[in-house]
Amino acid sequence: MKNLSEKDLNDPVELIKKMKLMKAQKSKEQVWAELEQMMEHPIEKGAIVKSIKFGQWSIAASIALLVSLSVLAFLKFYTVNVECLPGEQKMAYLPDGSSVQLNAKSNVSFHPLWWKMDREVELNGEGFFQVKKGEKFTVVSKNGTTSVMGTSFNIFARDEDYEVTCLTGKVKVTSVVAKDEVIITPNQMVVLDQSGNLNANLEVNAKLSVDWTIGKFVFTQTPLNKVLAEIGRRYGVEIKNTENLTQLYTGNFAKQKEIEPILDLVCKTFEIEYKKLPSGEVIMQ
Amino acid sequence: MNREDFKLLFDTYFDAIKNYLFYRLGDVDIATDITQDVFVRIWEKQMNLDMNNAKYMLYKIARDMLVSKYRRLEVENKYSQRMQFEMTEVVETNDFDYKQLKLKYENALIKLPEKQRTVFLMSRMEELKYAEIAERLDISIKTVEKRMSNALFYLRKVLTV
Repeated sequence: MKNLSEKDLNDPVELIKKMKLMKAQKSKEQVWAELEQMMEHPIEKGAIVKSIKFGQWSIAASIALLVSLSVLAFLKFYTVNVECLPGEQKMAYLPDGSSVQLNAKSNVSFHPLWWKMDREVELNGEGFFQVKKGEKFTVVSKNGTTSVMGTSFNIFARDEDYEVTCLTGKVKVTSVVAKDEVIITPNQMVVLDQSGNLNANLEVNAKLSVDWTIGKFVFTQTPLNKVLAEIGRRYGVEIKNTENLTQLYTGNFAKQKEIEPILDLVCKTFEIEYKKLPSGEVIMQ
Repeated sequence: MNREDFKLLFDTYFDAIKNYLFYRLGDVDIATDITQDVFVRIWEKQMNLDMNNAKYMLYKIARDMLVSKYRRLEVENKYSQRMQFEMTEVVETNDFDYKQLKLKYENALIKLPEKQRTVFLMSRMEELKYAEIAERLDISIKTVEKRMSNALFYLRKVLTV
């Protein structure tokens, strides 16, 4: 660029000082002329308001009411649903920054826009909640309700089962049918019995109840059909013909890549055979 | 606000606001339109601006208007392929090297993040002091310095032959 002057060659950035804006289609004078027009003939906003006749006020008012009601309804009923499919695990975050880790085949839903008015979360399945300090909210499931304040806890709510285990802080559990109420503290657990009452188990190793979050299976005196259901959910595999398997199983093992070694392990204990179909389903014999 | 005050406000700040919007948008016609809207709003709302707070309010309204009215139209994508300038020294405009450099410059400017570009052009084209820019944009002097040095670093890198 030999034609550039010495100065511009040294610091081409300074060339900006030799530049100016392109002319706009509308000059400053034209803009001012238009502004003067506006000042002389203002848009009569007042006139429009006055022209609404008295009878129309009721219509306007009902429209306003309708609009505000629908906004309110939207705020209240707008729902976020986080669903975790069989074979998955997922993290869900609540509007206050609390978190829920969901086990396979579980879902939580809540109303983020209504959160300030009503901190309520609905849970189906199993979830490990870690609640931010100072936040209070309620987790509603089919058979029970759990109220919390700055704690972490695990809820297992599937079919007729409802179990809550407290890891830190304090948790209040209420059963839906019998309106039974129990407050539990760390390393305590409540289980809903068939009559709808809550039974507190005051000494459990609460850590075991959330071992599923690190890919483990933990069963303590669990009926075999529930053991198999959990294994099936975690692998996203349907296991059939388990209704009569009510033997109690206790065991503790890590999830592996394939389902077979796990099934072998559990089935061997009770000398049960199983068959895997080409469709992926497993049938117990 | 009476008409004399309004006219004074317009005469004093029309160019500054228009330029500011141009620096951000890269399109001088849209910048002019928004500036007109800014003054329309001030008149219609009968805002009581005295010369002390006027500067701050004008830039603030301009910022808000840019966001609320024009951002949605995605003006940026549509118009700003490059910043377009004219040369003040007519002779040199015909010079091939200058033309090349100018084109390169215009392309570089549009690639610059909007905030850096705005600060850089306010400083270099209008020769405003950093403190003055900070006041108008409602940011700290430190921020102005930072944006400025980032802009310079980038432009030097791109433009130095």
